[in-house]
Amino acid sequence: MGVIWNKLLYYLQYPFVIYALIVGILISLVASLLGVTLVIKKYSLLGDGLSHVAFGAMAIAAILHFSDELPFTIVITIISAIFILKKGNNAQLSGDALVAMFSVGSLALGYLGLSLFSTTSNISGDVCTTLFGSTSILTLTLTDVVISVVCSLLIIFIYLINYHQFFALSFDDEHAKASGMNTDRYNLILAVITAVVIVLAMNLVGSLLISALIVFPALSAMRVCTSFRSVTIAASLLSMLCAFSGIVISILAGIPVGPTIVAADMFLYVMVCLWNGGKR
Amino acid sequence: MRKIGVFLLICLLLSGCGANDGEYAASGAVVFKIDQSPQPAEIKPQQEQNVASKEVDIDLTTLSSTMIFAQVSQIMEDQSSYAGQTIRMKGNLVVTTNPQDQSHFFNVVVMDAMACCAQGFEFVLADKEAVYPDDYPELNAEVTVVGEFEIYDSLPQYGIFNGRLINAYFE
Repeated sequence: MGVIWNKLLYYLQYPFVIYALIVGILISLVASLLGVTLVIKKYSLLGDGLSHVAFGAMAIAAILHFSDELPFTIVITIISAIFILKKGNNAQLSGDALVAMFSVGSLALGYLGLSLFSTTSNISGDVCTTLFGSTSILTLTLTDVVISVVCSLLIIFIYLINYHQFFALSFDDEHAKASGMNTDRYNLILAVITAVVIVLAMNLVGSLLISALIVFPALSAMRVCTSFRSVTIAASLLSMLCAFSGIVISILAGIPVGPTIVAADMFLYVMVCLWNGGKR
Repeated sequence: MRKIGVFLLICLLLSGCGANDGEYAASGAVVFKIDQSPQPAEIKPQQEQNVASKEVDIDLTTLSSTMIFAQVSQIMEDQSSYAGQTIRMKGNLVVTTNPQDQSHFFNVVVMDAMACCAQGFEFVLADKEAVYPDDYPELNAEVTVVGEFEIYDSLPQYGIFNGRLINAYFE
């Protein structure tokens, strides 16, 4: 145990490890905040769909040789989120079908585009890293860290000042609208911050595993808490704990970061279910 | 029956894709052929490599594979901060050949945890009398290389700078 502790202290001397822990904890926090609302609204796979759209957008930006892919990716993801959340109530095209269309279509077109108009010599490696988040969180530049921290703090601020509105939106859109709330505006805010969180979270766990970051903490919290406030707080704490432990375990054991964090989330969910005795 | 036949034919065509012969080309760049022939040479003792041992500034051999990949990425991202520092690295020996002039480039490479991406350094031995393949280890063998990190103008016509280990030796 002493050896592991000494090794961890040695690794913590590396700046990129500190950056990874700071950004990882903040991203997991904002993802869990959104996760509670999205799970209740039955949009659990929205994160998955939007992450694939973000992958497709990143691919297009790379093909077009944009100097910075992030702004373009965020804009396209925001537009897709707004479209999905607005049109998801259509009887002909329900929310889950819309998410599925965007998800697989973007993933396929993105990879196809990269294959046809390759910009690097290792397409498979770059795609693999983007999809699974192997070591992306450990290769952040200082600029990436600053952007991630600023965006995360902004999202937390927006969520806190609109907490009651998100609470109302989570359970009953129609009732909230009937009581005079401008649900369109708050759905738009929700769509925008969801898109930003998804793009930030791609660095942490990769495109394919983002849903886990959104869903598992919320589900674990719902197993032990009953009120919306307590579920939100518990989800945040559990998510940060899993992100921290996942990053630490992955750098000590030399295993991919993204899947390790998701495995930690899954393990915690199973433990909570066992502890709760399957009462709910 | 006809539809099943067409489906099977498509499957057969798709399964007949050719194997990778280890050659790749970035668009507009020279094609480098990766040498796949096994070389039975042994590593010479350090004294015979005509180089004195150095004090190591960055020892990558003490890190996990995830950390090695991240540290090497960091070094290649911020090369100027690491110029002149002595680095020790353990990885696989990869040799690439420029088909235009048959010159060799020697690299020590590590894979990331998912084995889909590789990072590493080109190195140039301090022993100027070393000849490939006689004085080099087997291809793809695990080697430990110590060298001084240098930034050089690898593709002057494109203004591209690269990093490599110079005055290097095998441990």
